[in-house]
Amino acid sequence: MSNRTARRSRWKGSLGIASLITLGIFVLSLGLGRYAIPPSQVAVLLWEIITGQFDPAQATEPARVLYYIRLPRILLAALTGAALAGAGTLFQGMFRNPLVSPDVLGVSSGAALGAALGILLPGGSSATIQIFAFTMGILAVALTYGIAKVSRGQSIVMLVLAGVVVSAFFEAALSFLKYVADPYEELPAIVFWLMGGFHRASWPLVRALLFTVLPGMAVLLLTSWKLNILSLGDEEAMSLGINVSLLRPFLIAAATLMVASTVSASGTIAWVGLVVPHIARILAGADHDQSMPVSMVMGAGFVLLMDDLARTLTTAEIPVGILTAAVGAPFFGYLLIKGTREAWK
Amino acid sequence: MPRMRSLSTRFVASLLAALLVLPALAACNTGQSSGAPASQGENTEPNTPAPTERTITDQAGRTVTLPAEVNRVITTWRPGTLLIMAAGGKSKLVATDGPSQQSEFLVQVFPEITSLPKVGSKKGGLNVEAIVAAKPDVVFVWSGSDVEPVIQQLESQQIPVVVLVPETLEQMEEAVMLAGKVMGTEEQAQQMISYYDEKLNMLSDKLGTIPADERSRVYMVGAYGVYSTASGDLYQNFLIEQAGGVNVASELKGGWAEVSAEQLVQWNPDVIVAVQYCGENCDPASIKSNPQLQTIKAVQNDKVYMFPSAMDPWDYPEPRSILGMLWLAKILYPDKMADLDLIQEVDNFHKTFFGKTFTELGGTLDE
Repeated sequence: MSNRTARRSRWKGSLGIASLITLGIFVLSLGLGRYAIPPSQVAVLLWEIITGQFDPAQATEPARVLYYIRLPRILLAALTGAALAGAGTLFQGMFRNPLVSPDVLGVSSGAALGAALGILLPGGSSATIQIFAFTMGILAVALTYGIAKVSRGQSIVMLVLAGVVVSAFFEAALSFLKYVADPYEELPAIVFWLMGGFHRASWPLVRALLFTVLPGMAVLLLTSWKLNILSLGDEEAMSLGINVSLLRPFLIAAATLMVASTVSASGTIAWVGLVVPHIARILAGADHDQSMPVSMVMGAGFVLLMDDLARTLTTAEIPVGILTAAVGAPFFGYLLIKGTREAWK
Repeated sequence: MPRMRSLSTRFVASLLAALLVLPALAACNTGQSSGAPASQGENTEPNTPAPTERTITDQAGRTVTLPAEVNRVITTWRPGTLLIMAAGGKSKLVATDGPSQQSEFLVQVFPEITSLPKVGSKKGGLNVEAIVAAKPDVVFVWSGSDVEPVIQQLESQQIPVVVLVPETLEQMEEAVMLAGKVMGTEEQAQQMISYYDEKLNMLSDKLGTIPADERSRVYMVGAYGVYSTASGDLYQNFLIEQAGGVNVASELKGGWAEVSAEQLVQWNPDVIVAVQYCGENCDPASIKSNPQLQTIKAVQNDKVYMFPSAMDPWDYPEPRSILGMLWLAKILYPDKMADLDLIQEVDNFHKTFFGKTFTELGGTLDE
């Protein structure tokens, strides 16, 4: 009993620390950028925005930079990080596999194909590209789930295999589109989209994302205790009174909605959904009820920090996917060397 | 009375018309001061003070409101920078994309470019905050879905954005003229376009009468090695046609098309031209010694070339592509183009539009 209390207090501690760090990064992000705005001015402007005194029509230049460029970008990065890390925790638990990332069911390759289609279609705007990416991302997961459902065999393995099949097919289709794209405008646009990043941020985009990510996060947080049972295996879960055939598609749908919307907004951001859940597990323990919120908070902080580097290190934008992988991979390697066996019990 | 009135109206009208035409005349540098046409009776609005704003339509069809005078300009991709410079905007640049400042050519003709702030790149993304910080009057961008969010963000900062689409010859002339209009450098822009038209007319005068079955058949080695070639929808196809040649791969579509060695042997082109950026084993020596290609006429007659120039490729849709056309025409039809002194032409072009001759820049047409 005392063991349980100790774990609980450790969890509260790590959640508190993660939240504080993420909050700190958020505040730091507001003051960072190639356009210099003094911190005192940032504070004043932020206060005006929060209290509704901010009037875009009469705003000064620094105010417009903060409101229209920096703030939506920070929010987009944080939302994406939280969504990817949360979905990563879910899928790793559900598939009982530490190597699974949110795109295991094909959402990223589906979204990439959709985006390329949107770019190649005549008259495609960035809004149509996002809608295409979102729809195709969801379609890919639906296809994966359908294949796994009609095939016999162990459902979890079938899901992963079906995801491999669907991803491979969608990637082939994407390669074909890249092949036929013209090299002046379309191909660079596709390559640029695939690289991912938060430079597309705008208020309408952030608002749209809130509608898919926030409900998804709520579902994941509220059902994370059931994930513990689900991760024991189908038979065990059913014997404990969990309706697996209902819960699993429900959770997959919630996570897919989240991930598809973030991928369609900012492309594929590598490693976040794979590494952050592990770090959260090391800090907060294997109990999903506890690691899920920590994972989301840390995901937001991690991606936000990487994007700060992406937009301020050089005048050019460094693709944020490169940074998340370049920082995430060595850190993950370090954790592996240090030994994390305990976290996997 | 009616007669008197019509006379005075005519007088006022011609005076105003003369005022309107005068700047245009000065810009054209014709030196003529003949009387203005007196028939513009309807166009007699009183002289209004210089407007503080004006609107133009860019090549994406967007209506853009610009300040009356544009003195601070940002370009965001390398071909755009070249185009802005050719249109006379060199001294107005206040920031550029990164690759523009790494281009050997641009750095040589405009060394100050390296001290300008950088605002990102087409490939890696533009940094909107860096653009805003440089306080431009106008920002030139390429067209495409990837740049659309940048346009929206700049519009939220009330910074005018002009989209240029220099992908065909007509579009390029349009882009140069538009850039000239935006920056108030119509004179040099017009000069550029006149040069193009003059040279294109010269080419069609000299080569237009060659019957189709006597035209040189050209295979262009493209960006991905010997067996990639310029398909019919690339600018390079147009360039071959302007130089009086026939692109053997003109029926293909889709950028740089991959073909088989057998197809190339089957085409049996008269001339093979390799672009500078074709990769490995595609230089003339390698092509000539390639055992798969020995039966081809171009190889047998020693007509395998590298498309100039070693400094910067001239086969892309950009101002210097006219020089590529002239070069190719001379390669294909040395007799008909005998009176063209190519290196002098190239030097003149560079001196006029970029301020230094090609030879001064260390350029050479030798392979």
